[in-house]
Amino acid sequence: MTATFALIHLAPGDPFAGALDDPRVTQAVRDHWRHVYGFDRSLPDQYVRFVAGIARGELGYSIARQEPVRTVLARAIPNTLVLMGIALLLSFGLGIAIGVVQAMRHGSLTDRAIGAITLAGYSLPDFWLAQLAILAFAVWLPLFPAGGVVDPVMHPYLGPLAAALDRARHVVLPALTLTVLSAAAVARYQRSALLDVAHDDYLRTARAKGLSERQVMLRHALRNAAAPVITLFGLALPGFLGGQVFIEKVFAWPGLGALAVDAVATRDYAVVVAVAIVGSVLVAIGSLLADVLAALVDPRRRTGAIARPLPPVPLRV
Amino acid sequence: MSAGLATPASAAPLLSVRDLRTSFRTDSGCARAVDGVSFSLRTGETVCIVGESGCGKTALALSLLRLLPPTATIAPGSSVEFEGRDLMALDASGWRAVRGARIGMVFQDAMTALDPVIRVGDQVAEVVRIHTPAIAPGAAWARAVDLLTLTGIPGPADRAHQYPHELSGGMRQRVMLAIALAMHPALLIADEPTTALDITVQAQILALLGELQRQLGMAILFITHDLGVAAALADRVIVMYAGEVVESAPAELFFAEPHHPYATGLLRALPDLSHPGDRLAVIPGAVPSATDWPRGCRFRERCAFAWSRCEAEHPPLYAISAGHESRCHLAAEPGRRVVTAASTA
Repeated sequence: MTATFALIHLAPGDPFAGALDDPRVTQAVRDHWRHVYGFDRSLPDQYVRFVAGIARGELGYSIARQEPVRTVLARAIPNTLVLMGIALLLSFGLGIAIGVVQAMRHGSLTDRAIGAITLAGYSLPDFWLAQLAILAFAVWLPLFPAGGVVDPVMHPYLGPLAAALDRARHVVLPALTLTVLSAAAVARYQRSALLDVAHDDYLRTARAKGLSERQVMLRHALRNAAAPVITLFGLALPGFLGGQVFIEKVFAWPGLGALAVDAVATRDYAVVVAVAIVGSVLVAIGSLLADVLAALVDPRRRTGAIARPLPPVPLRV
Repeated sequence: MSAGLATPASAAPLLSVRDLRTSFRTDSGCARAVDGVSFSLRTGETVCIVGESGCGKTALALSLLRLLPPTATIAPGSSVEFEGRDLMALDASGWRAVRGARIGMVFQDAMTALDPVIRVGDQVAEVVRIHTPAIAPGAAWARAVDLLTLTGIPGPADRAHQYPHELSGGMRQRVMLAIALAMHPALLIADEPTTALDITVQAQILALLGELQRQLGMAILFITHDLGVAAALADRVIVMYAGEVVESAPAELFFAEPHHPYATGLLRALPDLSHPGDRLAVIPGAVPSATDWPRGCRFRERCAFAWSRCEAEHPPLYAISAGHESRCHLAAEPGRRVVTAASTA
């Protein structure tokens, strides 16, 4: 929070740079508005007022949008949650399934072919893939709308079912783009986590009990290989916020990511800080959720017998 | 027995292994870990396979249930017959009906052999459920608790809810035993089940094993490096060295009149409590590498009696007496044993 405050104030300009730095605006007018919003005070003074405001739950006022930050956030958060929720579910579901298939056919042509695809998916720039998706499925093959949450013209006139369908059609491309990018990462983690436990003795015991390879994988290997993927999930929660910045921008999805980009561009201090706070909350929630999940899956974590291991490769979700 | 005569089922051995060869791909070449092993086991019999680390005894045990890692192959001529079926010809579903049901297996280290994230009761119940598809989950759990009771775990109903890391080593091995015995197998393969345990717990587990064998009437293939354990359990002792059987004899005969110099060396290496303070006898040298077994007799480089024939000719299993075989040319030339026996004593 403090870091965000410091960083945004280190950047040149202020919220009035665009509107008031016009040479035709007199210095008196600039000083008046800066005084009204308190930007003529010393930085320490501004900081104290900022922290005091946060402590009271006051997120401030968006100068660029001329409305309370709270209202801005309340509009953006549901959009982001919808997109994030769908993409998280899809990417972890799909990623884990792909990882399992790869691990079961470890070393085969299938495994290597999928590995090449997930590596590509893992390496693609998100904004590029997003634009490619628009080009392919909205322009060349106009199956889905290119952007927005709902149809800007028709939506208010649609019945409840058609309105829901309209929303669903709009979420497909951004959600799929996000899913492709992060399912590739999840699959790579899942595969390597499964291969890490592949030679563990309890899997041999499971085979000696008469379990099929499939049962060995789903009942024993997957659960023991869950830790890295759970850690990834905890990091993905706030990671999706960052990952969504460009995706939301490209798909004109009015969520937190797009909001953050606009706020930084217009030096909308209060909004930048508010988005950063939401991000920090997501980090905390993600980390808490990962710890709870890890303890659910592995009883040894409940007593602190082993710590949560870090994922094996640097993150990019 | 002539091939044309029908043999009564009771006379056929429960398990009959012929010319089993298992090799592993390694960086330094093909390791022939099990190199032509043959033996058989009757219902209710206990056979101990004895040998030091690297002699192929664990590879043998894993070969019998096809639990080998992917780097291993079993040579085509190998034959393992169990309850009249050729195990080598089984497909995946055939194996699932044998493993855990007709053949139970206990592994060396119960800490790593049990799944760390599943309650031990569920791990036992899982075998029951797999082999009894119609059973209700509650009944499978009750059966698991019964089995834990059978293996002498105190407070089995509570212990069933615990995880492996919450149990002691001895208790974990009892859980392994409950898993292996859940379906009343005809054969139990135990691969060094007591090696990781301290000596008093080891004695408890061995006593339990003998007791359960009497109750359930199963045959046991017990793999160990510990001759003391073999003496306590075995009806027959099979000594393995460098991937081969070097001596096979009824237990009493083996401990009274061991034949192969490797076997006599092993027995001499046991500490003698009537002479505390004596230095233990050792067998000089180390087991040769499985990628490159020596020509002729594989033990000759460590053998006090070795002579030219041992290098020239790979010894067959000589019959010493009824049921007693030894892979040593001394069986053909017994006179040579005396010459240097004193020098190794």
